[in-house]
Amino acid sequence: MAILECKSLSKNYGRVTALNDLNLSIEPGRIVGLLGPNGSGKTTLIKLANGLLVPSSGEILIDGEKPGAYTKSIISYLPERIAIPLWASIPQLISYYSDFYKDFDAQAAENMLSNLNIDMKMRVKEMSKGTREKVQLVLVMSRKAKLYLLDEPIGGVDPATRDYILSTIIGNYNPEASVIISTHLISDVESVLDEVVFINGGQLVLKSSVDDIRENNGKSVDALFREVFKC
Amino acid sequence: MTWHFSSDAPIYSQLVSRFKEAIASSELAPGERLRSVRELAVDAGVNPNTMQRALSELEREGLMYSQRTSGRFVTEDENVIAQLKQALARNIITEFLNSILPLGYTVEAVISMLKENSKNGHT
Amino acid sequence: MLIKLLKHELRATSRIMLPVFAAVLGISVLAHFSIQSMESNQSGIVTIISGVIIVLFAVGIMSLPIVAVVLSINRFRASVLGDEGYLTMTLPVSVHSVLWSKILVSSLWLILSGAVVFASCYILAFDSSVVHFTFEFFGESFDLMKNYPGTTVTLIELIATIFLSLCAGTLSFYAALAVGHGFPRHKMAYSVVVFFAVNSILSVISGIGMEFLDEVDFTRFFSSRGPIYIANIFLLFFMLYFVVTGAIYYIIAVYNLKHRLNLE
Repeated sequence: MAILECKSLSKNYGRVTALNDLNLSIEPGRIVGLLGPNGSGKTTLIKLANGLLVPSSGEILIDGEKPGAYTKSIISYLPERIAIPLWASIPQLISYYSDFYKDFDAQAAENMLSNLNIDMKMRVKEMSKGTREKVQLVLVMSRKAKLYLLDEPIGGVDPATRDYILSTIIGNYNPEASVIISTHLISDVESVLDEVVFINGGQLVLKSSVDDIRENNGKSVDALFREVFKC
Repeated sequence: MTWHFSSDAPIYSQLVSRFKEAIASSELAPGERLRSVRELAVDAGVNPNTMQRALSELEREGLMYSQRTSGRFVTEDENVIAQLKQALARNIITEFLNSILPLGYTVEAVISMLKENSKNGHT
Repeated sequence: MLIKLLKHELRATSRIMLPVFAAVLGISVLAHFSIQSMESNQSGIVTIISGVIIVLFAVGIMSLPIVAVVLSINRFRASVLGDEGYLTMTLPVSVHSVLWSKILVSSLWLILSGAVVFASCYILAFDSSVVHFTFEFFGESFDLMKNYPGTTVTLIELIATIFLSLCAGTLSFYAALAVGHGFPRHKMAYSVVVFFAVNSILSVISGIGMEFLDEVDFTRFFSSRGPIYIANIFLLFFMLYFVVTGAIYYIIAVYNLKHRLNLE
């Protein structure tokens, strides 16, 4: 069964149509790039999958279920913003995640945090923006979820951390789980992806494996993206 | 092993080429046991499915084999490796000739340049 | 899951409320001694300091309930409607659980604020006669409750009514915030407008209701009953009022959180 399925999914905000009759299916065991310019509907799609928005029409299913408590328990979501509370300390965050998510691996989180040289005694408000992003990412990747939704995971970090993050994504690979990475930095993630989904104007423009794109077009996904979305 | 990827060819075929180079040059010894798909994927910075596809292709060509319990190994078959070396060598030579002949040299001139270059040591 | 939500909600809010409680109680102790020093006519500086402390005490006890309300509103805004909402609203729990955890903890802090204000005044006035009065008060109260069992029930109903009123009040803020958040701009302005609008409508309806009740002749009904019975009827009536208004606010809040939530 597809891990994520969109059937004629549409979402409007008043007169603005963010998603228009989107049909998409993502199988388990894939690392998928969700690509598209700003305002293309990527973020709306992610919020719909998370149950933060309700469809205007059509449906979205995660592991065959509509968004709700079950789907939220199998989705590990990394938002683009810093969502962890500023007043919290790292042990409090780990306690929070452990309490609500059965699949959270506290030991793995602590290992990753120490690999990234993050001081376990700091409070979030004392951390730089980059460190906060790392902490948030570690918490998300320490879960054994069925679907990881990562919104711009490598945007604000240095190249070494970027490599570490991508290694973690590859290393966590599980044939029953999928990872959806929404990003602008295509060339950095391309080798990690199985498939890419191009979205523009709320519609699906292209869904293809990375290998097929390179074979059929003789160019990288990054180059194709620049062509397709040329200003 | 180090990995360098270009952006226009599919990654799995670049992985296949890289493994072939490693086997031909004994960077990967005959009969050597390979690490798991996941470890190789992390090492190369590529998707595990892509790595799996490359390894399956290499198995199909007889350059690798896997045993369910023990893992995946480079072939010990000397003939297969010899054929691989020949095939790679032929490709390199063809590319080389395609680059150097258009400059106007004859094959004989190229051969003597090669001999001279070898005598002075190659990098 | 609700228990876990309550635990984390308490953790998030107690880091502010407990120090504030400690500060108010601390000022009360200081104020207690300040009054004594003022009465014994000390030097000018001591009198001034004592006066300042007493003013701080007054400010403290007056602002404590306000602090609790403001914290409740800010906590909801930040953890449900702000960036933290990306975490809170994607937890594998129902919207109802999230809402209830916040209502219960907010109401708890309001009740405790009242208790702290009361305790502060008690500390301020504390002396041997107060102690004596306290024992007398509790002694007589227990006697009353023993001899007139209805008293205990009424007391429980009173506490329940107070608690329901706090829940309904908290929910009125949450509903207004949830509605206002659904608008793309001027969210707080819409929230304020909705808050006053809904309150006004409910006041008008209550007013009309009261007018009708005025017309009814209750004297016949009540003349033969004791004061406890009358008190019970009134309390039950108020409880019903708060349950109904609370339910209205609850439905508004849940609907907006489910359908009009738009985190940015």
